[in-house]
Amino acid sequence: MHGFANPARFLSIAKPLTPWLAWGGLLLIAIGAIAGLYFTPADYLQGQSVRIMYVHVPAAWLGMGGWSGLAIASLMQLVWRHPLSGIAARAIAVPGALFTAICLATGSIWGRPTWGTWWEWDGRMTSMLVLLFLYFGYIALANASEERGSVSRVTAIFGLVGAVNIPIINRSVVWWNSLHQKASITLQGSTIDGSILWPLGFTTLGFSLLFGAIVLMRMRAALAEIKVDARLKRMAAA
Amino acid sequence: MNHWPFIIAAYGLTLLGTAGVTMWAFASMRRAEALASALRRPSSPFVPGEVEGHGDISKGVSTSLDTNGLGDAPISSDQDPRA
Repeated sequence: MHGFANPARFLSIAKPLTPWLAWGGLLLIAIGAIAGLYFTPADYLQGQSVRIMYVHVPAAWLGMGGWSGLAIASLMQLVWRHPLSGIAARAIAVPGALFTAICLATGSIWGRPTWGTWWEWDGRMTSMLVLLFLYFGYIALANASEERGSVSRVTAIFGLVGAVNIPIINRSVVWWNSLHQKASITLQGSTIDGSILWPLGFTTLGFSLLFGAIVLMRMRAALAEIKVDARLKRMAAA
Repeated sequence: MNHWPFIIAAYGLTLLGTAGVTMWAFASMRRAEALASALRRPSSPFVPGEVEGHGDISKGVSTSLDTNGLGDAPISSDQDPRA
């Protein structure tokens, strides 16, 4: 990982990788969404509304995965002072917040025809809402930071401490009574029939690749802004 | 209950949010990288005080930047090695 500590080396990999991730992601999302909307059967219990799963589950995965990545980057910043880790954590925050918001909104939309309510203050939904507020707090702290492109130590500590919410979200349906179903896909297998499940693999992988492309684009923008600042300072001093 | 309005709303919201953040990330990356590469070139005509907020900097670069060491005179596209 320290091999990528050099921004020039990082950029030599990130530049060719960005379009591959973006276009690959979009292609997989398109395949998964079209298949999920037109080719998979309706669920015997939930009916057509099960099709919301193909966007809701990837959004939940990226909201939680995003904060996990942000926490790992924060740890790397605090422990190893990796020069790109603060930039990576900051780059993850906005798309992570967006996908958490999408997860909450699509979950609410899915809940109305399935549960008969838009919202319930149960463990899963409330802990996911807390994650969204954590993202907002992180973004506010990062923007208040003096560090150009990167984040301060306080922000990194916040990113690390906030990770305590991730296992709470994961276990919330086990620990508390919830309208939300228990985990349908585990290491032991899936309770979802294969005929309905397969497009979910496409959309989850597709959104993950697109998320990676967005993070790389934001990191490249941050590195370019740092360069601009340095060059302007040099020109002003000359 | 007809489920399709709910499905359309969920997909529409996801499409809007994803497209919005992707385009925003792409535009900010292109803008920042164009600005960085413009400032890297020698004898940039910009005065540091004028580029606060990164306003018209790319316009100035494309019309009058000296890239071949000939001085500050604007160069035509056939002289420009980048053209």
